[in-house]
Amino acid sequence: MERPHFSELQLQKLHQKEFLNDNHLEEIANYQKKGIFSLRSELLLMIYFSIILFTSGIGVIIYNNIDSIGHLAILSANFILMLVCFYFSFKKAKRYTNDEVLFENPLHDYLVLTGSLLACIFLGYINFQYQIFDDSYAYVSLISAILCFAVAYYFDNRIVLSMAITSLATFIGISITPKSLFQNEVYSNLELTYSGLILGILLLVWMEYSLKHKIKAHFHFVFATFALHLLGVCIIAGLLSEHWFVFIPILLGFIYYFYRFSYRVFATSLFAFMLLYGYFGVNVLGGKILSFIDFGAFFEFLIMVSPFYVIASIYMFIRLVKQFNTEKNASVQ
Amino acid sequence: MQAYNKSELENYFLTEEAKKLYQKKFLSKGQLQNISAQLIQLKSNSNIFFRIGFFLLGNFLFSSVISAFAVILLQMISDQYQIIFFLYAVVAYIGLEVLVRMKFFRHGLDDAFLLSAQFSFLIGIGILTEAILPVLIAMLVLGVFFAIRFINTISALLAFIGLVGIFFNLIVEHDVMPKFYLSFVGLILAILVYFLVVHLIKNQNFYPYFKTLDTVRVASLLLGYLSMNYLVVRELSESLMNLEITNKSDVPLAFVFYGLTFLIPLLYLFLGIKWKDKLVLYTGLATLAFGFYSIRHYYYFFPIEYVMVISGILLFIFAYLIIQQLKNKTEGVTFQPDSDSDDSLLFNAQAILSLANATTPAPTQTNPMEFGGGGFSGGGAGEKF
Repeated sequence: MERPHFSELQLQKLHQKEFLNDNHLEEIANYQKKGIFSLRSELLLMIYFSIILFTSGIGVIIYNNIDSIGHLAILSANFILMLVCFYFSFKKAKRYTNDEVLFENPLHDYLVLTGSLLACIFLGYINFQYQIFDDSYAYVSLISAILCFAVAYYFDNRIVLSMAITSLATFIGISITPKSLFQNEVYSNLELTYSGLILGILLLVWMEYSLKHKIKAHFHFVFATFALHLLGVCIIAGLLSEHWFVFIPILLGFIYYFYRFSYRVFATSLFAFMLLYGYFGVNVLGGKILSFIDFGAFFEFLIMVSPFYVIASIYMFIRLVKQFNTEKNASVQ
Repeated sequence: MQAYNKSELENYFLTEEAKKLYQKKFLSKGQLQNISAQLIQLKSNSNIFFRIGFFLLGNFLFSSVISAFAVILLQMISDQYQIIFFLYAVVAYIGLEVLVRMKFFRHGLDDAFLLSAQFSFLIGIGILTEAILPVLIAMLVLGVFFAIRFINTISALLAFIGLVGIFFNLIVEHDVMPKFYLSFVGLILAILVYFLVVHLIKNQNFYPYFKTLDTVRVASLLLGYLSMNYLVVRELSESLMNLEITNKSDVPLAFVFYGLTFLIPLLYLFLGIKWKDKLVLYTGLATLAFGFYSIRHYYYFFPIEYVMVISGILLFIFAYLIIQQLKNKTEGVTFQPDSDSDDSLLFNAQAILSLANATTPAPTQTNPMEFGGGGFSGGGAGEKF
């Protein structure tokens, strides 16, 4: 029942066409004989989910017991556990450098994650109970963000980094979870749109700076992904609002920047989503312009023309994707 | 029967194999480039984002074409509206054949036309006959046809759903046999399909279909589990057989279903490891999670937050013990990275995932439940408040 990694038939065919020599075949056969079945990603993901489950549960328990005697016990347990996590993280961590530093044991990354999650819970609770920032969660979010940024940079942890960015977004008042994007929260408020734009641009500026000076340059993907989605959604929201003309240059700048950037790092997902937001934005713009023209007479004509428009855009996309793939494959990595 | 030129298909799959060899570092990038330059390529998108994007564009194209059609045609055939969907199906099929001639394969555009053709035809059948059984039969027949001719996975899944639907429909609406046997029929069907697929996979010459067959294999594993799952059985018997379930009575043979709710996932997990088959392993994990959910659906032991904490701890211990077991093994089942595994990719994925999990409320909310506002709380926690 066990299936080998590579099909023998295909290997033989490749051999016949002289793409593989005898050495290759031997190496591959040796590899196949070992029957390697690596469960690394699966187990690490399991650890990740277990931590998320555990900390979310703790958060809910603390909230539910907020006025009972038990809460102090749970809270101190939370605090002690957090200290333990950070103690071991510091002990195992290598010295900070600007390059990528990995723990010897990948489990320690998750120790850092647990510590940061517990710290966020703790901060939130302290604020709630003692009203340090009088009911405003914005400052708590800011402090969480600063803490998470520090932890993320010191321990070189991308998961904590994404927590930090989310907290920062919460500080300025937007929640950039996929759920809120689908519920169009950003669309409803133009101020949020502008603050989203500013945050997105700030993230990009910081990313460019750290890429240039090689400060944890491998974080760029997380920053770019956040910024891309945040800016994309904000631009679409802006184009649908009354001040839509303001967003035309921003849209063009967005497309240009991410087009260049995805070529620079050869990130296919960035390229794909850039195309998606760009195309969507251009179509929204087209709709706006069409709405100024009197529809009645054109309606049937428009429907007859639309297939050609779609074919033209498909043709353009095929060209763009092909060019991107060729360049990506030609790059030496 | 296959729509594609045989040697071109072979080239496509050889290149795929070469890409796998490159990922496992048996080939250098230059060698891979050499291979894909020398083999004439079908137009395909191996990247899922591009494929979905082109799928959407293809759907735009199809709908704009049929709306242009409709503007002209609707005036002529307004009294025979039943045939309009067959017309759409024909348009989509012609579009599909044109795309195939232009060597599109697993590109997204062809997927759009392929699915549009099938669905338009099914809707047409549904309007014409106003019954479910013919639709399901058409689903099976068309699905098999498209899966074989265009080597398409979703069509194969549709065919599988059609097959299961036929039996379900026969038993529930046409009373071919007592409804109680429904779940056993499901199990037998799953086993039959599974072994048929395994038998087909053994033939190396069917390699273009391996991905499709694997998907059907997972679908049949899921069917086998769901037909024996306590939750599914109980809900179905309540709604189909009007069974009243109280504290004292339970569905017939309840202990079998209770047992199998957990035994089947464990069996899948065991087989997944034994056969070194990740698909079976993942199916095992998913079904095990669903098994726990189904029991909790009826029996309330603790509030959800305690369940989360406890299951988090248990899951952690479980994973940790396995890691300790496997840490130093270099052959067979192992925790060591395979030559193609990429921790960086995994970290990126988890970073994005924790964004998806985050339920960060905006500070303008007057809800007292905010802990730090960081992206920390898991998916389940958000809805509680």
